[in-house]
Amino acid sequence: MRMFLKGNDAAAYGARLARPKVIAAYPITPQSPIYERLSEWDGQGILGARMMRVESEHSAMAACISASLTGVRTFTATASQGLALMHELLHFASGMRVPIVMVNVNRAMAAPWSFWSEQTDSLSQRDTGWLQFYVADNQEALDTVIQAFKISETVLLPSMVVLEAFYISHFMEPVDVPDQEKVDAFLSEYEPAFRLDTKSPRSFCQTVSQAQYAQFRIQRYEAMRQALKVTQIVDQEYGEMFGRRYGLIESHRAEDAEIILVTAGTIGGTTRVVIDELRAMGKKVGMVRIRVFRPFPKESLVRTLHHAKKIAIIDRNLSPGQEGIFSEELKSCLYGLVRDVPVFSYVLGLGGTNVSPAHIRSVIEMTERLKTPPTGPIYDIEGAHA
Amino acid sequence: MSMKYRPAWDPENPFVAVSSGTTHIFKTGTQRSEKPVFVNKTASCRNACPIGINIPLAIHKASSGDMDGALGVYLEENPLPGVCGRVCYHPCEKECNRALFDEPINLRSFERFVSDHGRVDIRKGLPLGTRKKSIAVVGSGPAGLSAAYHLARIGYLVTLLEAQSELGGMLRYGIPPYRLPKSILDKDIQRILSLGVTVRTATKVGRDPAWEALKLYDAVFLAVGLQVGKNPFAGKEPNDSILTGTEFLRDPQRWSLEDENQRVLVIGGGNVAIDVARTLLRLRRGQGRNITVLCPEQRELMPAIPEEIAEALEEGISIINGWAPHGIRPTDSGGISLDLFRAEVKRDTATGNLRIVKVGEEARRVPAERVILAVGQGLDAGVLPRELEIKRDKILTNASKATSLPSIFAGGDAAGEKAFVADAIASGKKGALAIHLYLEGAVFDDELRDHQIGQSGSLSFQHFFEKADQPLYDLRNVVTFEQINTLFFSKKARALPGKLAPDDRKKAFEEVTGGLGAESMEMEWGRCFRCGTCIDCENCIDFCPDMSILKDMKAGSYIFNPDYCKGCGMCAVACPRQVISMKAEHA
Repeated sequence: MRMFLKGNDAAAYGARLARPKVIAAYPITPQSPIYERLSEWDGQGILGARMMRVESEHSAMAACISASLTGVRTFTATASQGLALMHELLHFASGMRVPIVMVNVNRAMAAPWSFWSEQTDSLSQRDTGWLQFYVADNQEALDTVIQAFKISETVLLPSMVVLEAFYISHFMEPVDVPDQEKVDAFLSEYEPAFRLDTKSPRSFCQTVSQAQYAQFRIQRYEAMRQALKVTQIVDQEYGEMFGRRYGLIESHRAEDAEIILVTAGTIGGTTRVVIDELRAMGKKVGMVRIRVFRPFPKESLVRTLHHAKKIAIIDRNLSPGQEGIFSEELKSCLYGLVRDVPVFSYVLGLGGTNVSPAHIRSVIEMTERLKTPPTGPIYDIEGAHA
Repeated sequence: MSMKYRPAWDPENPFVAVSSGTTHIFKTGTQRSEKPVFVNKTASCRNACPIGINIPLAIHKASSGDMDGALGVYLEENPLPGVCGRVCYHPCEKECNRALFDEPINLRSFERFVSDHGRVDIRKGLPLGTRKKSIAVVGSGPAGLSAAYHLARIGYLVTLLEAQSELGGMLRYGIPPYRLPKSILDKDIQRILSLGVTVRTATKVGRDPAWEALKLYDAVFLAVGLQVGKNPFAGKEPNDSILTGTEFLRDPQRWSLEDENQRVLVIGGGNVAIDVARTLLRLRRGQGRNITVLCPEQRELMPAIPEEIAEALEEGISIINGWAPHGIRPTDSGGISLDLFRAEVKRDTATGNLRIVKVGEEARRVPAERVILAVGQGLDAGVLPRELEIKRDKILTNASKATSLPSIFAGGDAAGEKAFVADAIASGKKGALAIHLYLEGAVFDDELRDHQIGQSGSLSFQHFFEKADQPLYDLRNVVTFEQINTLFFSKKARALPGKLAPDDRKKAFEEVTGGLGAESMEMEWGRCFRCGTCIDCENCIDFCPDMSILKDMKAGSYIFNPDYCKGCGMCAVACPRQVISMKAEHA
């Protein structure tokens, strides 16, 4: 059914269609509408999950981990400070290999207080062992939530589906909401690999020896690597059933491009339009949008980017003491190629400031003009951060 | 399709940390440097009790609904719970650890309650009459009754010889019935006699029979008390206006003092003086205007029990403090007049004895028709064996209660013990054990040390009899307030028994103080910490993080599992009553 939905609602629909049994969450702007919509369905008796009202995000994640260990599908949603408060438990979730799916609505971290979009909250959780998907529109939000359950439940790692505050969470778009029967056919009921079982009492998550710890870490790393392949397979299965697929990265007119602009999230949608305009003017430009950040799709990126003369990358985040985080990650996977491709790192859209087509055109112009990338990120694009 | 990439679950080779067995493989006991020791200790009340009664155990039994068991605990040590529940000066309450928390437990009322409501066949399980040795106990006051009782319990054939026509000594002929009803005394005495003690009343040993006749017995216990009231004016009495408190109390009606217009001066500040004044008041149907107690001590230093003094004042008796008589002269009307000097009582720093000291030159003269002297009592040495060593109204004994004569032991007031009922009972206990050990040829000091309670001189017959229980008790170890975990208790006011109003009680000899009712008594024993006494609260089991405290059903005690107890000491802290203490593992 085609509906006109905000991104938060699209994510909520995705969660409901996946039929989780337990949802434990705590409201926080700009994620609260997800919580509210799920509560509304709960009130109407059509949610099909137990809503747990907990006293904090830390408890929400603790509840999700425990619920998941009992063998049920589990969903939660948060943003920004709430995600930061969960931090300790995020490690627990991946260490316990529970396939929780969480929507995180990107919001800038305090201080100072801000409610607008920025990726620092989720990128700060880079090493917690969670899969991270950065979506570009409302439809992708819904589809990725459903996909994430299947991926997580296969590799037994939790997933974070990242929506940008307001640009997705509160913007309305037409969304195709799949039929429940089709989703059921795609995503069968959760069968845990192991579960807490009173008939066979076991102690989970106890202290282990150094060697045991090392083994568990290596196994988790391998599972994350496996997730690259599984994400592609699930995406393909989803495409066959629903007619939409997204890949690890989105590549737009990059095949023969001399300058390729790399970005993530909603900036990708704007960039796509600018690329088409510039192509019409005869410029050989292309775009790559990184959709899956963890596991990082190294091979796909190298294969898509290696022929470019120049690469520009726009980050809606800024790591103090380094640069944009996507930029760092991208550069690390380009290291050691036969031909060195210069990467121009731009930081735009901090604190939820708009990244307009004009800003993107400026980025491409500046990349054309400069011979070699300057040291450090470029954030002085005219009219940006305003 | 995608699901084939899912890792297979193998609990033997898992991808998350999960136990493959139980935690039993972790022998946390190897970390232990200290271990818990479960042993009952002496409560501070028991330590203070001259008789050494295991009060918290009795309270535990009573509060568990076993009133007979509670009385049994008393009777292990004390043959006179009915008496002590009424007249004891209750040093137990003074030392009660609860006093440092809110108020002491009303232990005297508890003893009275137990005595009134419990029933015990004391003969059960005792080796009565199995020892073919016979012992004479001379005097049936609290010391004599106590000695007779404990000797009979050990199995001796006991004969109790009493000069008066009825048993009880000062309990009957000294303590007035408004403090101790005769029926209560009779009940306690009957219980003692049920052990098969032979009684010969109206038997004045030393006259008939002669001391020689007692040689038939294997041992003799002298508990003849101090029967003669002291008279500093002996030989100087101008007329028959002077008598002693002991004489008066033995038969108050005999002295024709009912006429309220006769001025009576009672000299002395002890219990006898107060008893005399209050008895006289009752003979006079509550008319107290001519009854005056006079003593050299200031009010707060009077040796009488403070509660008794307060009751006497409530009843309208006047007490003049700080004066002492030094002269006496007849008056024309047939009475006498006493010459008084300003006095105070001081403790001699060298000897520790109390002395009356003259203060200033102030003098005073008080007229009276009668003077009753309650200034101390002495031995009736005339009836004792001539060879017996006596010094200053005291039969000399060694630590084993033995006198200078072979096989003759002595205790109670006559042997210079403290003059309270409880101390006399304690003395009788000690005498009984000493005689037993003498007849067994054992060493008194060693045995005493084995059964000694706390740091005081009292000893436990329960400990002496119940060999199997001995490992469960560390009698010497007294629990202090600091060792009680007060987090488990809440503050509550002490229950007080009702009393007859002064106007109602002073006209007759009815008992002044009542007992506590069942409801207030339950509240009261609920307050008790049960210091040093395991009551199976099982806090230790609940709090042990290693689940290594177990109940040993056979021994009726708790033990710890050495494989898992890591010696953290949580149990010792969680034990509200200091039954558990930590000891070094290899000590």
